[in-house]
Amino acid sequence: MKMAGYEYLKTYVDGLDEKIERGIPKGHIVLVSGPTGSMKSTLTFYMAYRYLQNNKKGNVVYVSLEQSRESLLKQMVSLNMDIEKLPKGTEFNVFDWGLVRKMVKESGTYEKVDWIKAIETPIREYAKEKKIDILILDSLQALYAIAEMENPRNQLFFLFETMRELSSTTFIISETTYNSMKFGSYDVEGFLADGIIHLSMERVGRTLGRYISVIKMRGVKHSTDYYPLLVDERGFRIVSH
Amino acid sequence: MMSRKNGKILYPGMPLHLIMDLDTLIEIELKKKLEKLIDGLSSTIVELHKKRLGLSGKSLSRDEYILLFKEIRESLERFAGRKIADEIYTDMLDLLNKEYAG
Repeated sequence: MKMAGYEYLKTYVDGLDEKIERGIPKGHIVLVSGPTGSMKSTLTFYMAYRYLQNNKKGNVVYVSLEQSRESLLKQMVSLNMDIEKLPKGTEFNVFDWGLVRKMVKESGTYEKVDWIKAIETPIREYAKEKKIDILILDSLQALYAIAEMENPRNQLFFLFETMRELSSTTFIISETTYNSMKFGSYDVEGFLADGIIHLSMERVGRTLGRYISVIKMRGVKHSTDYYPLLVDERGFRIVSH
Repeated sequence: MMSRKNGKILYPGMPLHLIMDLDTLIEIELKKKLEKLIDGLSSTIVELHKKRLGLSGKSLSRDEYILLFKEIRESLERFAGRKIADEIYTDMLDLLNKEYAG
């Protein structure tokens, strides 16, 4: 969808797109933050999967720094998202950098690696050959665990700029603690990103409910309300009344 | 058409191992393929797989190369999926067969 210079990417979360005008402006870098179990990876995968399913063309790159490719894909298949069943002409590439980390560790050269460069360069090279419509980095905290962040503000600025130059819509997953309104680890991630989707969890009696809010989305009028987030075999939806 | 490089006569379609030794050629090609996926870590990953197979620091036979390619293919499949792993494996086998045929 295109309007006033922006093309939009739908979230495919039933009810949520209407709360952010027409969706996420393409080319935006969006933080998807939340605590463990808030379904950050699943929601992000879902948006990318549904994009390819509906568009019937396009290219997604998912960079997983911790969860193995096999485990991630199995998890998504159990939620009716099998990348093998996507239309011909689409590509959903999942790169398991956790495996590379393990292999480099085994080789004994782990400490000598510039991990940000090692991960960034192939993405840039890949994008020269094929346009990446959606890029997913899972997760920032895993990157912090492996890369030496001597000057986080500066390093993150250049990392975000590299991603911006790809012109892809980028989702960066950020792990936070429960009941936190911090969206990253260095207080700068939220500022550098064009958008923030916050997933939170709240215990009501014996139930742990999931909530979603669009905290920030540059260039788009949006509500910042938190909505209950539900997921079933049909996908994600919010309860907005 | 023939040409000369470093005193060697080169002609189109000439097997590359006649220009450089086969080990160097195969390693360069393999690392080039892996660089697209893992940048400067390609040498580390090739060396690791050689070490795992007990093939470090020696000139490899054709069968040993095939074994090495299979091992790397398995890791690549876990890293990026079957399609990419198969493409690289097939390309490397083709190169190996071509050079041995030459």
